[in-house]
Amino acid sequence: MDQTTNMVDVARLFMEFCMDESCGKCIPCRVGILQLHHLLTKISKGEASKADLQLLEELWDMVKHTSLCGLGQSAPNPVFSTLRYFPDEYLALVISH
Amino acid sequence: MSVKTLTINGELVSAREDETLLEAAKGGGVHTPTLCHLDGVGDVGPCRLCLLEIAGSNKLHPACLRKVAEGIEVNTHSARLQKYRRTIIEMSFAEGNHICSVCVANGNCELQDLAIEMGMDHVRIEYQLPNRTVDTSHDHFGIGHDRCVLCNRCVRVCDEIEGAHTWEMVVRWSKSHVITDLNQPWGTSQTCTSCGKYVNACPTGAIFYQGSSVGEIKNYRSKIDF
Repeated sequence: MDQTTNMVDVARLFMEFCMDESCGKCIPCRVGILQLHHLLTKISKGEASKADLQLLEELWDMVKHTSLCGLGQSAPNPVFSTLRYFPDEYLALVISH
Repeated sequence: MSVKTLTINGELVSAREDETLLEAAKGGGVHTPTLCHLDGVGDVGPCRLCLLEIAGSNKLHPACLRKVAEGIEVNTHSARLQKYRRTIIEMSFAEGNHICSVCVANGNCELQDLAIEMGMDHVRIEYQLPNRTVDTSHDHFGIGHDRCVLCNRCVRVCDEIEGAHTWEMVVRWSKSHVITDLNQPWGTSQTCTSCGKYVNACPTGAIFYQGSSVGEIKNYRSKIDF
């Protein structure tokens, strides 16, 4: 990774990995990580709105705190840390109405 | 058996030391929303609806599994918990193909009841529209995977009460689903005793009596409780 890396894409790739690793037992991880991946894909394509970004914020918090095991609890980490340290990259891709 | 005293939502509640927080709350008149819990079978805790806040702990604890302890302070209905619960129900609806208007359990469905309880009037997340199957190979019953919320109550009822263990969960992630025996049509099952307990155990209209029309399923949970 260097200064040219797309951080939204990094988060999306981590979600893709976590989706594959999810056991599928609990609702937050099984559905939540898929939804996070879907939202991140939408954002990277430039098709997401501010409401989608707000939903992303709500979902990562919910998945992190309600998941049954460590996979679901740590999966949203790339999402919230890229949101925290690289918010400009997200905002640049979001459609402002 | 000693008695433990704890605080639930600001009120003092007494409970036996082997009781779970869910049972203690019920004893204290507090209803905790659940989906995968079924009185009479063991708890697994995958639905995450019964999560509670305990003072002094920054984690959330499932009420159906956490045992009571002396002096703990429990909050069952904070704004944060209600927000999480509502999102969990939205996720449940988005994950399957739940079309209430044509469902056998319309009006008698725990998922509907939970949606009403959580004030869910719309689903904010994208519907996944999965390609799921229906198995009506059994003479008397059927299973429509579109309506399955993967609570695995049917698995536990068949295993712990009937003792046949016909049902099992297979595959990981969102492809996870229930199967009969060695992933074969229900009608060919060697272990199924056709006891019908699964119809009473299923919280939605996923498992049904064949020939049932819209809204005709009635679940008698008390027949499984002990």
